[in-house]
Amino acid sequence: MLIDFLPILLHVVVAVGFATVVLVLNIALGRAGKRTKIKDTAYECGVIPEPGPQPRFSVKFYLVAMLFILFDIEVVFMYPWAVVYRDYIAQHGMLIFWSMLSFVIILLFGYAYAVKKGALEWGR
Amino acid sequence: MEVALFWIFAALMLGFGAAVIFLKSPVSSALSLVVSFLGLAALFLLLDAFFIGIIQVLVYAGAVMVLFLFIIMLLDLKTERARKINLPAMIGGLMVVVGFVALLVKLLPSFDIAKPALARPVNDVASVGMLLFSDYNLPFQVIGVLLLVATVGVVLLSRKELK
Amino acid sequence: MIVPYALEISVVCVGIFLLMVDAFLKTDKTTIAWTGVVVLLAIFGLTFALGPMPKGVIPEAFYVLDPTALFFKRFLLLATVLTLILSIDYSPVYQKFVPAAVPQAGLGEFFTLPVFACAGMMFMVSANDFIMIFVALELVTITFYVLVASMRKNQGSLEAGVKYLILGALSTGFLVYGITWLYGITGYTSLDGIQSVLPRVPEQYQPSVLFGLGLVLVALGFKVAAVPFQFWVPDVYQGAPTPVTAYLSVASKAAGFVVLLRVLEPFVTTPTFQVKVFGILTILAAVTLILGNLAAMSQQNLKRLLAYSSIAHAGYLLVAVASLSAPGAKVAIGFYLGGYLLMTFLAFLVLLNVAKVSGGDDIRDFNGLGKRSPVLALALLISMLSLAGLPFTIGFLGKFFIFEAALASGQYVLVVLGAITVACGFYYYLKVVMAMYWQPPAPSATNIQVSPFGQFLIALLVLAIIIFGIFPQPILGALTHL
Repeated sequence: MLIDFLPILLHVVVAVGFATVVLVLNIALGRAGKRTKIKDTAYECGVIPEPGPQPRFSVKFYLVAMLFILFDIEVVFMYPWAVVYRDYIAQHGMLIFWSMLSFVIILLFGYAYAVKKGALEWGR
Repeated sequence: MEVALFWIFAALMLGFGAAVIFLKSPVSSALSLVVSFLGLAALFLLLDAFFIGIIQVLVYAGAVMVLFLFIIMLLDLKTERARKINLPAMIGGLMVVVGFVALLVKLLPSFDIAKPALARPVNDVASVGMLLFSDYNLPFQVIGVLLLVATVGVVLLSRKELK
Repeated sequence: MIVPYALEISVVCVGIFLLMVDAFLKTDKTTIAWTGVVVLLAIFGLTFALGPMPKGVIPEAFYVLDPTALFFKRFLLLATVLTLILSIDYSPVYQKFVPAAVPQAGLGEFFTLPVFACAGMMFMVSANDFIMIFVALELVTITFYVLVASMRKNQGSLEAGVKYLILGALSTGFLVYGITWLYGITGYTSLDGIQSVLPRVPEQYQPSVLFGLGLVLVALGFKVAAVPFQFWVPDVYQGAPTPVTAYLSVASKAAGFVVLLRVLEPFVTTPTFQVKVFGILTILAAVTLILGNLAAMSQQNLKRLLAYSSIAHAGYLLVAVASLSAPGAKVAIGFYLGGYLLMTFLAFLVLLNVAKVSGGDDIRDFNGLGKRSPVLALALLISMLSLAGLPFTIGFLGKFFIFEAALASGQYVLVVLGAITVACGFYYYLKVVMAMYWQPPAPSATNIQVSPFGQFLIALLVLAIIIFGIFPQPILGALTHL
């Protein structure tokens, strides 16, 4: 059972390993002199830099994130669908196909609405 | 092997769960929450609860991302960092924890830990799928309409200027 | 063979169609609403072609099409049609509070979302399984969250939206938690299954069943605005766009009561739980009656007053629910809600037209309405008298049937309480009437013009209130099989 998860373990090892290697190389090769707190501050023509106010983020990020969540939840239903698809057809017939088709079509209308209303346009 | 993995993931989950609370920056807290959820998902997988495990990753990863954006947009990160510890809230929280632990101590002996909960492993994703697309087909379609309405709501409520 | 849920499917299709028209065609947005009105009326006609179906005919265990469901589907379709017509009247006000890049932006959604809510509520009144109840209820509440908050440039609407969202999510939590308890003990989510198991629940698990039912009652109490779960009502009703307030107070409440009846059915027919459940319901009804009526007395804003009156009416309906052992109780609930639909929409129709000109919905904005617009004043007078329960109006008969059922089941305390609170009701409803006829109009007040269609609708509602108040047989006839 657990051996099925070997690819995921390899994935994790590669991801963590790559990040570690890059960071270590960066420190080993990149550090030239001694770092101090003063040296790390940005140079502002001799003036001690003041941290600016909280940057304002556009509500557009939020809109996209919410749309992402909604379509993410759609995928949640597709996961068991994909797993049982063949067995289901062998046992009960094609209902599973039509069922998912109508579900996706309903959501497609939502997508068409969002596109047409400019929810995914970044510019304006 | 499974026991070792359980301890690793449980430690991961609890450690990052504690980090969610103790880290000063909300952004680090949110990221720790993601790792904590991943540990929890791994625990579910170890219990053969594959469906819940995958949902944990799929939904919570997305939900936490939105939370993350919310934090960046709405909270003033600096005042959050400077926040002092609130003593009454600490005591209240501790009391909840103590009560919960007391409940666990009282309940746990009644479970037979040596006996596995299920006689044989169940393919839970397949059972969910089989039920969802046969008996529960009607509620499933209603969920589709629900998601459609939610899409409309998202656009209506958060687009800067409506078209 | 026709699918039993063809009605809901067609309503959903209407909603999707209107949404696509809104997105892709550059038509005048009010045509969307009018199309919705016409098609929903056609579906209303179709309900008469579709008789109630016995349980065995319908393959899905989740869905019943009994006379109750059919009656309330018609009720909900009519309520949606009235909401759409109110929304058209309200659209100039709505547009002022929506951030628009093009003219009429946001109106399409404002007209389309009620249709989806209607489909959800039609599923709700047919739901016979907790899974279906939950899914349908969520469809309805999510639609309402959006509708309530949709006037984004209006602080009140946003505040109402946030309050409704947070308290609504909390009540959903209670519902799901209650369902898990009931499922854990009975092993069923279907109400039929629960009914079959309940008599055999061992005594040690009975408190857990009651706990689960209690949690479900909290959630449903929230939906029907029963005290002590009514905190959200005044603020949400006041802040929401007026047509949405009317829709929320009529349709959402009715659907909530139908679900309440269905959920209670297994419990009140099982002898071991009967007494306790009726006890809980009696307390709920008494508290709701007292608090709703007393709090309404001090209100200065008509929308807020109608919100508290909506709580009070939930109290009268709960009296009928607590008297379910009497044979006439279900008919009384159906009749009362039918009357409530007519009176409430009439009140909101007048309120909307007056507020459009006066710019506010405080009671003092109605000062001298008798002189400024005799027609509107007369309509509001009849609506208020009927809400108060004056004889020869539908409101009187509604209360009469409920008290009759309560007497038949021996709920004497509730009847006495009901009679006292009706007297309180006369005080606050007549306060509005006094303002209209005895107070001089503000110097700046102008006369109010109502569109011809609005006048027609007002006349229709007034006539219905009086005719059914004297001659209730048509509605009772539709209810006999409940």
